[in-house]
Amino acid sequence: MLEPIEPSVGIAFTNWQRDLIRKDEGLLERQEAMLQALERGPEPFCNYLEEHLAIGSYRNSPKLSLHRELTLNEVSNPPVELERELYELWEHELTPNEACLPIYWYIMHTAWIRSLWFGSDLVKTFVHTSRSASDPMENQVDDRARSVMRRVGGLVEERGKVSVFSDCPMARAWWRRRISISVAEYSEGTLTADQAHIALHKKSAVWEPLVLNSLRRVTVVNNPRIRAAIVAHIASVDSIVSSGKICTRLVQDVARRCQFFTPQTWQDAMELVNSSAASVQAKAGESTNEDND
Amino acid sequence: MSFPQLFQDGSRNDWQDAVYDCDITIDRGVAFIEHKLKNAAGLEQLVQDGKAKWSLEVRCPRTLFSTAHMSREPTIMLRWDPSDVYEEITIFPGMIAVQELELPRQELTKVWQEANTVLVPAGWQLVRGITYSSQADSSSLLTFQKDETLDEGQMMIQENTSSGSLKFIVQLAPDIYENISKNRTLQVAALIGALGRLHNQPYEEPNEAYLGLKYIFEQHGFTPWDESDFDPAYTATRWERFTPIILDD
Repeated sequence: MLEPIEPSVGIAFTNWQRDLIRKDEGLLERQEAMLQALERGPEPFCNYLEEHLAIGSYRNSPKLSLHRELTLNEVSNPPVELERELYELWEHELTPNEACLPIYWYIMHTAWIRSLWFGSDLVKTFVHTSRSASDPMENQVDDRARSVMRRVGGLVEERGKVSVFSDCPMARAWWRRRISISVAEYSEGTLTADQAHIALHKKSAVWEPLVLNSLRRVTVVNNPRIRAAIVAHIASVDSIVSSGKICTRLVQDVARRCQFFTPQTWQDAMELVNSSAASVQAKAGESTNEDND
Repeated sequence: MSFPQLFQDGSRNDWQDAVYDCDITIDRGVAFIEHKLKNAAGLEQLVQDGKAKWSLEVRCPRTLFSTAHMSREPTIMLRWDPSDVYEEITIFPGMIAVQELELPRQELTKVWQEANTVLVPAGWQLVRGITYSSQADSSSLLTFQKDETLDEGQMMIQENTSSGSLKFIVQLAPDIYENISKNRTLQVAALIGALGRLHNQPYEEPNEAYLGLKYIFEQHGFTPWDESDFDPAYTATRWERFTPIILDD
């Protein structure tokens, strides 16, 4: 386990992220400085992170191991098999109370990048932008800077607690496998961990609503049987694949129905989720018809 | 659809005179509860008959964690691995119907007595306790740190979002750091200072890291910090009791 995070590191982390998104005169210069460190390669970027996040003292701390150099595609969007491998590799090294912390993943990424586990072209690895070349330059730079922060450990100032679960591929890999194992345990044979994992990975529109609604409130969706039923439903249908909005409504509708009600059996949980899903789909269909009218 | 419920806080009571209370103790990785019920013999009988059970659930949203235990005994101990949770955990006590059951109507309020039968589905929360948190809200917000560079009696406050949500680091000069755990006045002063920094939030768009604190404000009915009449001192002292210094004349 990593030693406790010093308060000074927390302050440095906060100030650094704010400096990179706060809209003032110096923003472009600060963002370009970060991106230039990234472009120069692993050692300069690691030095940049250690200096700005005050994490130099963690250089010799225990690190999560990586068993081989990862390809660009693997780092960008780890496939299910890699997510499983990473979870199994880290099973005895990483605990949930560490894995939920964005700063923890920044420390890990600094070690991995320095060890060249992500190769030397960090721009291709960490910059995923949707801006076109015709967008104003400052918007392009802003998008690139935010992309790096999200992927290295999360952009808390923009996305809060969910960022580490949803935006950082390595953290997301661990959490997704962990939840998949829980789903298998509570689904009474309906899904294996691999099947649950494939559902959460392929139908990625459901991961963020599931996690976001669990993080933002002390929600009943964290109940492992209820969560397993949601995932089992998602695994069984195709229509939910592309709609994050419908996934969000499903999760929220289930949470509402379970406010004073705890399914006592797996069958009860599935009936509740299926009923929720039918209601959500019906309302979505009505809404589409109204739009067409 | 709704069914009879008894709430610990009194906001809902479908039994005529019933009262529910509980004693909860929380420590690292363990919670103890003793459920107590008065004037609800019918509910107690349901537990003895195995149709309902006392329940205790522990959740930690930061780590997507939830564990629960149900028992026919009113005393429950629930354990978890401390590394499965981060910071605040929330406890949900109550009583749950474990099968579909018919409630004896004579103890219920008049409106329920008018029904022919009162059937409750399996899983319905018959008794709902107040939600308990493992930490007082404000103490989870502040971390105190000794700062040798500060002069006697000085305090500085800075924000920390490295955990994913907003916290404050309160840096104290060594002379006051020694007393912080016992000095309520200093603690409240730190809270006032922390809340004072919220007023200067520099963002136009909502900042997700602040959502947890925003929820706390809503729950307590505090004036939002971005409104012109937000008063950090008033908010802090509504939140945490301020102990005045009594001077001898």
